[in-house]
This record gives sequence, structure tokens and C-alpha cells, in this order.
Amino acid sequence: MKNFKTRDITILAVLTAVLFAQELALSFLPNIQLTVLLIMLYSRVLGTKKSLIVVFVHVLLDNLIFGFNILYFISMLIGWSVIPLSINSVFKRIENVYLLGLLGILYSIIYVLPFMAVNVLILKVDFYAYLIADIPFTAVLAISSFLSIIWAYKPLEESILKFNQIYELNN
Amino acid sequence: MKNTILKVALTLLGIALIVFIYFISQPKIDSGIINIILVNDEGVEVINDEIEFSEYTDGKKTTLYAILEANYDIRVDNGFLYDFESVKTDGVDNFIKILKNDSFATKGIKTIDFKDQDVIKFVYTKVGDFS
Repeated sequence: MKNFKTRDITILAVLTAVLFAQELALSFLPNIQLTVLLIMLYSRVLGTKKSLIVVFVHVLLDNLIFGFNILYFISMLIGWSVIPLSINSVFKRIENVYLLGLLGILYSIIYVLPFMAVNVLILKVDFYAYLIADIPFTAVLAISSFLSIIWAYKPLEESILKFNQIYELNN
Repeated sequence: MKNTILKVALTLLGIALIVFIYFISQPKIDSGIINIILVNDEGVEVINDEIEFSEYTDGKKTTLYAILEANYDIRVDNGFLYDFESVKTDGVDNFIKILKNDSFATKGIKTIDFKDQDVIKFVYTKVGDFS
């Protein structure tokens, strides 16, 4: 953290608050959220390291509010960390908004895999029962991620890049 | 313009898919008798009742939640069953595990499917006790 200025920490705190607040605000709609969109956006604009910090704090807050369970904490952390780790490396060249939308679908599917592993391997839930029960939730997460990305990714990216020019977020 | 039309079309398709998913994931309840079992923190079976149900309860589609609410003292918050008669949980260190015909139920009491002769077992469980 020695390279972090007060300004960086403040901006990360604000962006984390936005990420967490939208999840709480949309929590009455099961799995409809802007989390995939925002983490993808933060990852591109802030870079991998800072986005991982946002993800960690977000997951920690989520677990503190909704009840801490180490298995779900780790699952959630892995599920969301995949985004900053891959979008700036494996998927670095993807800029088209529809391809980013498809990437949102892929990330939604990847997000549920650690939970599935925990439920099947540790909690001994029947694999097919879990899969069938989880398909609707995963599908809703994937669809809401895809739609939010195709509509909001570019406008939000432009806004954050303008903000970035003023505050040098990704330095 | 073309881009906007494509986005609107994809959005309508997405909304239609979400609505479709919502309807197909609703529980399909008919009528019959279910066996409700409650196991407390000492592993003792404190309730073992057979309850008759029909497709509708008070003009609404029957759910397990409606059956429990009509017959027992329960505390449910955000779809999560915390207390069931003498069995009290905090949802953090302990919770009520739901088994349907001895298999771990992957849906909550408001959305779980059940049919005639199903056995629904509620077991006090400590977090970390995966036995």
C-alpha cells in the first residue's frame, strides 16, 4: 500500500461503495445486479491490482452484512477475482461492446462454479439437483450482466475515463 | 440507429427470457399429504406430522412456507427459515437444513417443489458440520 495516496484510497472507497450499494439496492430482484458490469469496468480503468482490492473489500462487506461463511467468502472472492485477473490479460484486446457482453455471460457462469464446487464437494449436495436449481439464477445473472454491459459499459467507461484524466486513477 | 434497434431487441429478448425463467422455476404443487419432520440441536425428532395440503391455500398457490405458517410457529426472514417451533437459529453459526426425501433441498421454503407423500425434514445444523 506504500504507493497509494490518500486520493487513491478515497476513490477506491467511493467505487467500492457504488459497487456494494447497487447490489444492496437490487437485492430484492434475485441475481439481477450490475456487479459484473462494474467489476469489468473498474478492472479496465483502474487496472488489476486496484480492482482486486475493490473486489476484496466488496466481498468482505457482503459477508459482514449477510453473514460470514468462510466457504462462501472464498467462493465469492474467487468468482469475482477472475474478472480483473483475466480481462486485462487473456481478454485484453476485447473492446466491442457485444463481445464484452458475451464476456459478462462467461463471467456470470464462472462466478457460480466455486459455489457449485463447495456445495457438491464439501456440503455433499447432489450435483444434478444443485445444477438444476441453480440454472435459473445463473441465467438471470448472465442475462442482466449482458444487458447492463451492452447499454451502460461504454457510457460509464467514457465518464470514468474523463474522471481518470482529472484524478489520474490508473497511475 | 441500427445499433440501438439491436440493443432494444436484445433487451426485449432478455426480459422475455427472465420472465420465462421466473415462471418455469415456480413450484408446481398439486395436492396430497406431506410428512413434516423437525430435528432439534440434540438430534432428537421433536415433530413428525402428516399434513394434508391442496393446490391453493387462501386463494393463493400453496407453498411449503404457507403450510408451515398455517401449522407451526416459524420465523422467516427474506425467504430464509430461522426458527421452527423450539428450534432457533441465527443463520450464521447455525441454520435449519432442509432435506426433501433425504436429499439436501437446494431451494428455500417459498420455492421448493413437493408432491404427495414427500418427506420434508428440517434439521438444526451447525455451520461447519457437514456430516
